[in-house]
Amino acid sequence: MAKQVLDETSLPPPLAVPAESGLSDLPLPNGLRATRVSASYPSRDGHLEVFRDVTLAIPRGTTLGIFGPNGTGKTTLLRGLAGLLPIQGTLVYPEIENGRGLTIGCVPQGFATSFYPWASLETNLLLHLPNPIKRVRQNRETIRETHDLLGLNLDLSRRPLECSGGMLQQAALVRALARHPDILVADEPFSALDFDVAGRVREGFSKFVRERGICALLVLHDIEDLLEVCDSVLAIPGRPYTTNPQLTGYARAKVFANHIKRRGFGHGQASAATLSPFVTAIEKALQGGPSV
Amino acid sequence: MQRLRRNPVAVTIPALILAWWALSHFGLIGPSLLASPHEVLAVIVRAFHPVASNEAVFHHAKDSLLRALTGWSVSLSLGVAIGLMLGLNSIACRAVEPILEFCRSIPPVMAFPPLLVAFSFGEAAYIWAIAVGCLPITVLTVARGVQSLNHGRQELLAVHKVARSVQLLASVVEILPSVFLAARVIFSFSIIVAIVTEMVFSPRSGFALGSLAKDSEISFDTPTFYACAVILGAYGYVVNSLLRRIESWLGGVRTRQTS
Repeated sequence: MAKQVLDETSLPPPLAVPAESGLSDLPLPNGLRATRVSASYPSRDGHLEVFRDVTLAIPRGTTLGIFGPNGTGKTTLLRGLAGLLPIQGTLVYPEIENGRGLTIGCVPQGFATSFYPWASLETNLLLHLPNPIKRVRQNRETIRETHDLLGLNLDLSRRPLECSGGMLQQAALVRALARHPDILVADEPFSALDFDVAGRVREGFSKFVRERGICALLVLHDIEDLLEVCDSVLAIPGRPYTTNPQLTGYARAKVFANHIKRRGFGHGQASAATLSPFVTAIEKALQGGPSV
Repeated sequence: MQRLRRNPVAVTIPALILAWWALSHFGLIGPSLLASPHEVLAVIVRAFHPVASNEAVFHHAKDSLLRALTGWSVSLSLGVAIGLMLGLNSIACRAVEPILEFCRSIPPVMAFPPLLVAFSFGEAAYIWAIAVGCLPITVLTVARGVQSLNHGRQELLAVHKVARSVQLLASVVEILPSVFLAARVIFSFSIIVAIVTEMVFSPRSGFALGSLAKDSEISFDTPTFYACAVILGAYGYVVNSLLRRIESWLGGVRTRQTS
């Protein structure tokens, strides 16, 4: 599958893609498309603009990663697309067959507290599936199937208090995917996983998204997650940064990512010029595919 | 020593009884003010022993407990329902909360005389005095429990379009700690209101621990008076322990050993 990097330009506040970028004209037979969406919070000084004129497109069976510094509205965008916050702009949701309603799966940032402590992991997961009381047996099978497809080895009879953060994150992923969602929004869904599990989960996740035709939207901070899981990337500058414009290939992208992790995005105004080397690096890495 | 650390109450209770015995035995406090522990124990044993029973004390204790439990149940049922509604509706809560806070400071015994008249001096007056007295505490505790529900969980259920009935069920289970807290607090309060109202006006049946305590105090029957106090304390302790056990069983506080 051709990998694309959704470039974006300069306007502060961040997450701004002008209409002339041509993104809104991308062919999208069936999928999620957000055109010029904006969000703001009421504040003491009127309205605090979180992001403005964001345009993105996620065809079915693909994953879009959002990458950028803290406080630039990534989670707000996710929440807006999940219908939890009012956002302005045009949203086109994937077409649904058989007249059933749109299904959204969500892995929240606070996944650890998203489980009811009084119930086992399995009961917690069952609560989020359709007809949790009448279809217990079928739903159990769905959970088991999703769990196995992700290559996990969870003891679902445990209660949340008996689980580590990594286990809870795995369960949160199973919970979201077992719903067979049309749209999946996930805020750092691999952040608490160890190296070994993360590898298996990323592989299982990508396969699941492709096979089930899910439009997946992930906020990611780990460049490796970004490169291995995402078909496209929305890079948010927030604050500008300086780096070597000559970076190419996967290894360079990793060096670049480490640089970003170590140095942050610098200070001053965001601009297309400062963003482009980063986007180019990621794009090239994605086109080449990870070889490490 | 380790056993003592695990169960320090094994020392404090015998120490308290020993101090009580010493005070009465050595005449530091006269028998008209303090009965000895064995005299009090004798009254209690006679009241509850199946063979040598002092039926009067037993019936006083039973009837007062029934009154307190009935008032407590009415208050809890009404309080949880109203508290849920207020907790889910912030406007209603803001409208009613100051009134409840105002009412909470008024001693329920002040509502007792009108209730006596309203219910023709019947048992219902005692039960409603308890229920009305406990209601503000229950409503406020439950409403605050609902307001402090984990919004992330609620949001996730909403995003996943989980049926409203399941969402409500999950919320009810989640506020159980608040309900149990209210239940424990108002049970002690129910006992207090029951005894005070019985002291103010003896019920028609003639059986009431409050009346017995008042009469025994007037007649300097200190063993019976202290027996009433011990029985009331035991009621509070047993019901509280029972509620705590149910709460911890439901809340899954006890975690299994993980391998």
